[in-house]
Amino acid sequence: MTNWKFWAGQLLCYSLFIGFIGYFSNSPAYQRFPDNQAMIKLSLRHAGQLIGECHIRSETELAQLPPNMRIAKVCPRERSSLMLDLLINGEIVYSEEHTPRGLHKDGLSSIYFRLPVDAGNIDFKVRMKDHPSQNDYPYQLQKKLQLAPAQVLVIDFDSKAGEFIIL
Amino acid sequence: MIRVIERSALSLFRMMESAFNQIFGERWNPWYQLGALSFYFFWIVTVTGLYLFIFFDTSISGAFESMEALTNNQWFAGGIIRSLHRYASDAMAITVTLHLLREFSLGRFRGARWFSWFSGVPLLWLLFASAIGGYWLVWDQLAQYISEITTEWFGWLPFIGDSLARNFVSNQTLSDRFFSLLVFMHIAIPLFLLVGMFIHIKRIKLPKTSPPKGLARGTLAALILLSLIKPAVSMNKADMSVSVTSIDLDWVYMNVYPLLDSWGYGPVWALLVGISGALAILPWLSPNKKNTQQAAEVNPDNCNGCSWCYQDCPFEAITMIEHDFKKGHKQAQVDPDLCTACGICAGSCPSATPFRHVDELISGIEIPSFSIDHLRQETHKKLEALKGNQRLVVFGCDHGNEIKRIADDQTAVISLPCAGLLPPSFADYISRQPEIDGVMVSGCCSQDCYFRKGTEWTEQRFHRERMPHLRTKAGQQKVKLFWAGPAEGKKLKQALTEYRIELAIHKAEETEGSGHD
Ligand code: HEM
Repeated sequence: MTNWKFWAGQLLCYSLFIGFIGYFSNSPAYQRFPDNQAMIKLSLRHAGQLIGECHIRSETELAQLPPNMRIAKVCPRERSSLMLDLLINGEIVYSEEHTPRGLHKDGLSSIYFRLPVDAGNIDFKVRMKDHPSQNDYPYQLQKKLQLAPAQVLVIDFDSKAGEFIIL
Repeated sequence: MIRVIERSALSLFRMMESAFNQIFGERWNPWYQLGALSFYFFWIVTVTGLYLFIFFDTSISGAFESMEALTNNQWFAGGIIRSLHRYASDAMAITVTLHLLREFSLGRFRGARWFSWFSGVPLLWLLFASAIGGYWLVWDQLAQYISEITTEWFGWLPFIGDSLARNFVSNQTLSDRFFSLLVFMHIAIPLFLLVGMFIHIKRIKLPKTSPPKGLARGTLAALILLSLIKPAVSMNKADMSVSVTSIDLDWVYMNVYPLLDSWGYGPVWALLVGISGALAILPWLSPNKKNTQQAAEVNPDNCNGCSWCYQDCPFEAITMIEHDFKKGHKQAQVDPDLCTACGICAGSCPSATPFRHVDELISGIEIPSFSIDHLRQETHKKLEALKGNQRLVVFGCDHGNEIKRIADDQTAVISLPCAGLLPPSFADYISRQPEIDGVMVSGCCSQDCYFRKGTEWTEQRFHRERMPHLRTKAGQQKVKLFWAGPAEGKKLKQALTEYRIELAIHKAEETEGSGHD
């Protein structure tokens, strides 16, 4: 093969190589959602209430225990699951029960849920129970909002204040 | 089924390689250097990464701006370095993927070679994790997308859980602590990758970890050119309150991300773990056929402890131990789990010479199913069948050119597992047979020996640069070496014709010379 063909061939191969890398390193653009879509994220961590009553040990019960374990009031460690619903324009779009973390189910329940919705007016309601004895939902938030395209609405829960918040 | 795919892939590779041989020459042909190029790109990424790290602000509030400053305020240095960092990473993913496919097509995952294959699989995960981690640090909209999807994807695993994704849910929940962890991971994972790369080549003698200079310069120049033409830039700064709808993905590394969106996390885990698992167990899914060569065996009576086989074994299967019965002498020992039965050790053994006056020729080390004695008998049988007035013997390897195609009345062909199995003394011995005019040794192309070192060692032994030397008195022209890949059958035919002409001219000159005397 003549010299110029040798170099021209290499030039072509190198051009294809960098052409491939140059193009695919950031193109074609990946259209993830239609432009008119917004997003709701439900993200919260909360410890459900303790299940079961505390128990006061009697004198005889205490006497049977080693001295370092004689604590009069014993409370169960297990916490309740969280029951959480999200309604959009009156329709339930998410309804789930979340068990607490930990072997003894004594940790926090952690929730993360993402839902693409059409941008525009929405009427959303989020509600939660954190004890099985609750008949109604003690924590609720309802709002009418105008969501811009691509806007992310994050709904969180402030455990101290006991209320839903929007981030 | 696996072998059918393997063979089809191989013929595709052969075609490409042969075309590239025309353009780059065998020495610079990138298809023969895919592992070495992967190492080379890794080093480019490491050096450029160190530079970037000096200017990088590791806080989540300053990361984006620091990369912007680097790209725009010093485009002639930081900008190019950043682009090189990105493009060399992409190049590495490409060469690693092709390397995997090529090793697969060559069946280099079977038998004793399982180790490099198996240890290559985790490298894929480490490589992709390193690159995706890098894109995450830029903290632009691509990073925002990566953070959302990757945390959800890993959060899908029961032992990780939802709380991972919560770190990136809104601008308020972002924390420098988590971001520092990402910076740390982008250093730690490539370090693990490097360790993995060394483990990957641990069982290989003299692995090719750097490409030839011409190819190295060419690829670096090409990547620098690309960095100048199309500098790597960021998307807009991440803002968790606005989701990214259109993303400039790096498709080389993030090709599964759109699948995560459309299939969901479980199926993509199943797909990737499934592919990795299948790759990892491939050596056992498709093992060597039962009738393949067995590992080399040492014959202590004939082993003088010279250690040439130990130096030549391409897979470090040989160690030198105390001799069984010769006090103060060494003796070779073969680990059958590491031996690929190439026979390069037999070719290096000084006792494998057919000049020895023994009834049964037993070499100090040899492949039991392809002994030197067997080779001698087979060669003699073929010599007896030769006719004509210019008789040649061609030794070839099973993985190079198909030498059977050139057999005729005047040309005896003998196929070996590897050209390196042929002791130089054997070629010498055949070349001295009065009825033989010449010996040709042929095998895989010079840069691509199936057993890695057979071509190179043979070349050196026959050129008296490596023991055992070729010591023919019959003249160098009586032994000719020729290397060509399996796709280059025409070249072998042509080389044989040229050799015949060369021999004829030489013979004519000799008779003329003796006539004058
Ligand atoms: C970071 C990625 C990788 C790098 C840098 C790398 C590099 C290398 C190098 C330098 C060699 C030695 C070549 C020689 O001297 O003949 C090699 C051999 C090999 N690699 Fe890789 N490799 C990588 C990934 C992989 C992967 C993903 C696989 C397959 C799953 C793989 C399979 C093999 C095999 C089968 C061999 C041949 C061993 C033999 O000849 O028996 N490699 N690699």
